[in-house]
Amino acid sequence: MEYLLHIAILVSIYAMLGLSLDLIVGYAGLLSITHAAFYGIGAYGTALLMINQGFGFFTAMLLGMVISGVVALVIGAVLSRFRGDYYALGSFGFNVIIFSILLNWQSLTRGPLGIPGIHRPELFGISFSDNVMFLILCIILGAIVYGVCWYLTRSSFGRVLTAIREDENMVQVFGYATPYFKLVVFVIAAMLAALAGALLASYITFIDPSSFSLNESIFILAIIILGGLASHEGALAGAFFLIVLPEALRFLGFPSDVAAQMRQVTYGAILVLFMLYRPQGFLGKFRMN
Amino acid sequence: MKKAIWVSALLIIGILVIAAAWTTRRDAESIRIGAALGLSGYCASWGEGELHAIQLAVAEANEKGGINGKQIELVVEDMACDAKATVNAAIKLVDADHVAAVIGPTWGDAFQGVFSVMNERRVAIVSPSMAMESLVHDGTVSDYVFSTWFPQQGEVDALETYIAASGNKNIVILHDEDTFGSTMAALFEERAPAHGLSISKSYKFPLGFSDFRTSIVELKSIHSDGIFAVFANPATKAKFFKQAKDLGLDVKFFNLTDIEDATLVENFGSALEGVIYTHGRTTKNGEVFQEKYAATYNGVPVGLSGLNAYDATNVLIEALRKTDGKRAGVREALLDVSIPGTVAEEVSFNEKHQIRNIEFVIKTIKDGKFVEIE
Repeated sequence: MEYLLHIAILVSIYAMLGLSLDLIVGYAGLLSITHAAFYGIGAYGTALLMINQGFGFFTAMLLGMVISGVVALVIGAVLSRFRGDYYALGSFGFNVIIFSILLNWQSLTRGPLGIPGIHRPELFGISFSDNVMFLILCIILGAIVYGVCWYLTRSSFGRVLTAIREDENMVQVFGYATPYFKLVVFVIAAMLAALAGALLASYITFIDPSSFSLNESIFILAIIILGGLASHEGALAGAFFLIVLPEALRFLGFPSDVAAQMRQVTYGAILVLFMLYRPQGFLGKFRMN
Repeated sequence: MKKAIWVSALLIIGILVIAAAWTTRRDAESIRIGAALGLSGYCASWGEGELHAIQLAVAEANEKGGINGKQIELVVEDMACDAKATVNAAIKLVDADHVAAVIGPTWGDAFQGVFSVMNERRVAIVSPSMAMESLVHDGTVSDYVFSTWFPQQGEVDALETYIAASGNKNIVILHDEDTFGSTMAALFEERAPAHGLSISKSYKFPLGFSDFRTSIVELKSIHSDGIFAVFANPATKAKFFKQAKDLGLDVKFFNLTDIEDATLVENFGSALEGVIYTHGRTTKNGEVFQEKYAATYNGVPVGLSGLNAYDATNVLIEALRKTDGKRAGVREALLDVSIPGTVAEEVSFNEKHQIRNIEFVIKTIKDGKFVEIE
């Protein structure tokens, strides 16, 4: 049961990451490969504020989101002037920079040694140290993230984002300052990713830079591509599938000498087949060219 | 309609996992030990050797009656040399497979997320290839975490004593950003003044970096007495030595136990000639293990952690004999047991949960062979 709770917690954390990245990639059509950087800023911000400053989890989480938002504002101001491949490359570079800072600013982050001893959340005397309670917290915060994404994409702001995705020049002709819209959605998504990072730090109680590398950004991107772009349900489905599938494959009963390789081959083959026969993902409304 | 099919497919996968997790029940007549090892990914070459060594130790124990008459069942999970997968593997072993204790993870210093999980669940874990210094360097000893890897502080002291005694003073350190590389470089630098050594310069490289030629050209102008190179992956340091030899860098190279890897010598040949390194003295039991390993798997384990994995398994089995195969009390039993080992005459743990009484010798690579320096 504890194992299933663990998987459910991971699914909910990655669902938040998928939902937030989908705002940028699925709705605004901007190929961002930097989401793990904000995920990391949230995790490290929360952990450091809890351990060094003695803040409670929720205060530290909110401050972590603010820090992530401020960093996103600075980076987004540059990125929002880019389009297409240039946007992807710029965001890629930013992830590398943040990863490098986490790894090398040893006096603050302890570098590759990571930060141990992060506490589980508590609120008004309610402890979330039990995994059932932690899952409930993840579901509540996940529902809030879902609600924010749902509201944004159904608002006039969301419609402009979708229009930018379809034809940015046309949107500019109508007088919209598209860099502003791209910047705002980037900052919001970064803050939501930081929330997921805060939850991860508190759940595992240890973080190190390897959890926020470029590979992690690609993994989050895979979640929304597989689940289907521009679909909140797709982000949930993608997170569920990509977290649960490798765990499900552990139960296939391959001989232990070849099990790891067989599982990876099976996992890879399933992903290739999905992309062949369902390139728009499970529930996608938009297909990236 | 199509959406419904896809959502149904997802639900079916979920139900299958739940069913599998629920139906994973232990046989009451056996005692389960978990092994979370790097069987894919960049540490897999060591993980494979560790797995075979563990399988060998478990088979031997079962032949002798297992644990208090109960057979040992080994449950193996791949940690994929990845932080998230390591945590998942450990939680699956502890919560779904209900193992009594866990051996792993491979290179545990780089995958520390798992240790908070084990502490929280009060399940002992013994890593065959983790430098405990990466956990205890700032005083954070993990209650349920043990390692049968060589105590690195002792190894660094032995190496620095030799470097100083052989008339060398100025040393350059090269390391990567991995936990092991950073920890060892910090230890070396910290202990150097006590041995009369000075560090001329320290170079740090990103994980996976493999083109050292620019730094080597700069190193040629530094005129140091020797270079201490430490990287997470032994193959990376072999690449460094090869490039250094190719570019004519004429200094002494100092290193640690993990350079003694037959496959490295096979692949990098003369590039490793003359490298001086420390090494735990292998016992008679170690030689017997290597013969058994060769006979069973037709080769030697890659990396040196096969011996350590064998010891980790045997010491854990001995501890489980004291707890009658139950989880509770394994930690205390591990602190209490002492068994004949392959990397030390007696394997037992000190207060830092490292193995005691390791005798380090100084060795070099000469004509492709690992030779002890008198």
